[in-house]
Amino acid sequence: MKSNDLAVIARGLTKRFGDFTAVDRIDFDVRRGEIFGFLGPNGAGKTTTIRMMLGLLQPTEGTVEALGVSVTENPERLRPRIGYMAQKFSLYNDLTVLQNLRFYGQAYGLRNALLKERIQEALHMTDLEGREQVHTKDLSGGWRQRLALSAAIIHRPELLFLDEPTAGVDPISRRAFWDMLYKLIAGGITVFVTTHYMDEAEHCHQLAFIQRGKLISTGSPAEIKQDVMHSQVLEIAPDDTPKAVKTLRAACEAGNLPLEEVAMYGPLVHVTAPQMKQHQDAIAATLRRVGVEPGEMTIIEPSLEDVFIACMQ
Amino acid sequence: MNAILAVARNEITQLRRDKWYLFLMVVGAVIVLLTLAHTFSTDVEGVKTLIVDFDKGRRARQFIQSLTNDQFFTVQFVAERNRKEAEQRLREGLAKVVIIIPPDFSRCVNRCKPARVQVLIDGSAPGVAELARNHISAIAGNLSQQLIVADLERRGLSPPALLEFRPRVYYNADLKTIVSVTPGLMAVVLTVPAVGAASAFARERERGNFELVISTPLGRWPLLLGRTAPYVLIGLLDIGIFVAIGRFAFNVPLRGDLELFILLGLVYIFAASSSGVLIAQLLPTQHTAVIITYLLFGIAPIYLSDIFFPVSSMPLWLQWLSAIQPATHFTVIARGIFLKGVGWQALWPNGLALLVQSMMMSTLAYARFRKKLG
Repeated sequence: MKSNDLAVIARGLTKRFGDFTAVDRIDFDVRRGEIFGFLGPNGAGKTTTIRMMLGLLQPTEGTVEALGVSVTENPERLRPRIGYMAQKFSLYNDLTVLQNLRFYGQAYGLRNALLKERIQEALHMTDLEGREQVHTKDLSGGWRQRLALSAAIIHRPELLFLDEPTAGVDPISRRAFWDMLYKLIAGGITVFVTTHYMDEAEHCHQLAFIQRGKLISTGSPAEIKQDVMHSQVLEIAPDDTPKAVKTLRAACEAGNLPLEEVAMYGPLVHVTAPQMKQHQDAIAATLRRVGVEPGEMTIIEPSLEDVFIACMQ
Repeated sequence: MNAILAVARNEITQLRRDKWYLFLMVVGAVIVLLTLAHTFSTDVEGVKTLIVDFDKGRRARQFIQSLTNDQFFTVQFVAERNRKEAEQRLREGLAKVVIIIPPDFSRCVNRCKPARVQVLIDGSAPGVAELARNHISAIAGNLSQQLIVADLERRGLSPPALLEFRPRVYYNADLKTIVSVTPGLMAVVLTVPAVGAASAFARERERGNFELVISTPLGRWPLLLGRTAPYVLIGLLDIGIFVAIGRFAFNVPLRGDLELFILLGLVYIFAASSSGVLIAQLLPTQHTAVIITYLLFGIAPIYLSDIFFPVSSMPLWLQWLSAIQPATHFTVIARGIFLKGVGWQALWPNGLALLVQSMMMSTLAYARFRKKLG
């Protein structure tokens, strides 16, 4: 792969705060024109990583290159070409939608007719038209997130950094938000997004899993499933789900069943183990012994949520 | 330049949304000026004085006339029968001074014998008591002198040459403290915008706006100057209001050049605001930055800037501390322009000090300001 196909190249990226290592020697590449999903639980080091990529935090060690510019050495040269949506809503609550957009447009050097045009474009893109005069603090969470996105794209950046953009937003708004991201990608933008919503991770071209500052796995969703999940997932629909989970976990701890993970999914149970076919009968027998009818049992393709949980073990 | 304007406009829009804040910066500053000027003013007039005249003769009337001529006393006559009742008035706070003229006062004077007048002074407010004593002894001294001269002339002798004392106070003829205090207080109150500027920076960090702003290409100078500029403008508004209050409410004369005062006032506000901004860069939270800025620029000048307390009698280290206070220099400038009517020729050392301070503080703030988190 040619290096100018890459939007971001991170090598040995490390951030220590005193004795605490927030990000520990991570390497990854973000390809141009793709959505790169950065996954991990709270406190894994996602925000620290994104801030180092933006030049807002100086890495303790390692380098980041974005759009051919060394972020560690020359962050100011990168700024006009990137957009950022911080995890905490960072626009001015005292200002209206239009005043916020006008300020950020001006911050990127836009003026007069061009500024007006780009504001209209950003409002249209995020479906905020008609809300120009609303005070930002009166917007609901979903609309604020749209406003934050329009401020981040007002200067048509080549690379967009989104730090948990959909946290605390309802599913319909989340869906709409991802539709907007796809529209942006179609326009040639590269997106780096952190999330802990696994359904969102499925939308990404490339993924990286981070836990306690360390990169556990990288690749496309399909590659990650193969890479991380050597095991298969068996979906069971028992008549007494809590009892089934309790029984299987006990059997697992007693060493009677070689299961990696037993997780409840509503009325269903997901059981993870290598060579699942060999254990299927033993699992059914274990459940029947305590009077639980296992019901329908199928080996399914693991979801990213299964992968996520497997990763975090 | 466009970037500075964009940041300044953004700050003004935010300020306009925060009406209470604007109110504090303008009306609050006026209230502070009015109350401080009056409370720190040591001009004393109309001290309630009771006169118990047992003599009722010509000499007593002469003495009483001298007392009533002095604006310091507001004289009331009471026909008390004895000293006890007069003391009672003092205790009840109905009078600060009681003067008892004995029945033989005129007779003693006429016979050239010592005439005793008893003066009772309420010492619970020592400042006023001290002043009352000085006034009375000056009046008594004058009267004695007149009596001696008259007596000598009556005997056909020429009076001895007397020391003549003709004081003339320049710039503030009546020695009204309010006249000298008000220009100094402007130095104290004009730091209100500095507190505002400090809190604007701290507020931006606390509300999380900072993280996004520093991810834009906006440079450090536009971010610093643009945020500070609106507060300097508010300071300009304050200057106008204070000049009007000084002229029309306190009768402070404006003998010098108003334009020079406004110009140096702006330099002073910028020096104080830049220091406030520097403090906001050094201290992470809004309330500590505001408190420290307020202590350094709102409180310290009251003691250290020669407004009320003479710096020349302070230990050397305090004099140094005073010299690095922008307010000290601005006090000299304000008094110079208002009371003495002097211009740049006389005020340039202080004007230069303010210029140097504003450049130094803004450069330090710039050096300290990083487009980084943590």
